[in-house]
Amino acid sequence: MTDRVEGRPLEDVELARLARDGDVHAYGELVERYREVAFRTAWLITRNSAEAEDAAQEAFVKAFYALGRFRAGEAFRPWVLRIVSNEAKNRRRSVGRRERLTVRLAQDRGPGDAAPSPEAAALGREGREALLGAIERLSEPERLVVMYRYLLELSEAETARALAIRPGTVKSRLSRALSKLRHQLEGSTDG
Amino acid sequence: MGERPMTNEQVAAAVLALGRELAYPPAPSMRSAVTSRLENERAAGASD
Repeated sequence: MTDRVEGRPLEDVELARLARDGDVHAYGELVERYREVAFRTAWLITRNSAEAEDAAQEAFVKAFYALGRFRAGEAFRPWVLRIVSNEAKNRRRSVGRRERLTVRLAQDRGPGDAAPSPEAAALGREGREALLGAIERLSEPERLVVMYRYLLELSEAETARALAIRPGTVKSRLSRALSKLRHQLEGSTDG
Repeated sequence: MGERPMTNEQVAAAVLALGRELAYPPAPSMRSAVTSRLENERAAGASD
């Protein structure tokens, strides 16, 4: 086994180094670690489960062959998510049926899932649907930065790396997107 | 959301909370598909 040393899981950078040297098993561990966020990223872009799965898998294969460009000290997650999002964007135009962005119903929550936060509860179901609609209406650059930063909970630095933009651009784009969402939400509650 | 105007910080908190409520499709397992493909491609490359 190459994914543990003295009982502790190997760090991403160690697994990436082993994978770059040809250890496919070590790379499988990285795939397992990031398959969920990779799939969710691809799904948020394509909004189609089958295409998202294909895009994420293809991205992991491409990332393996690109490991020579992965720098020591760099975070693996945003690096691979950039490849995933490029793959998903390339496939998006061919997607037929697009699945809707929806919130989970209370009865769909598992016993281990947290109850809605105060912020979510304060919005209520209609408010959350309005917010989802407002996110859908953002321009693509703004939607992507909101998606990475808040829906997928990447840090600002990771968001910048994943989108290949400067941290300052992440901040300004987020600020603009949040203002638009705020105006849309206020508009939706005025009437 | 009440009568007071929201701030950007409140909207950010609401979007973050919303992200935890999204109904994502279940993420499929990919490890064996990816590693099998890489091993097959390596074997094909070795036999060329």
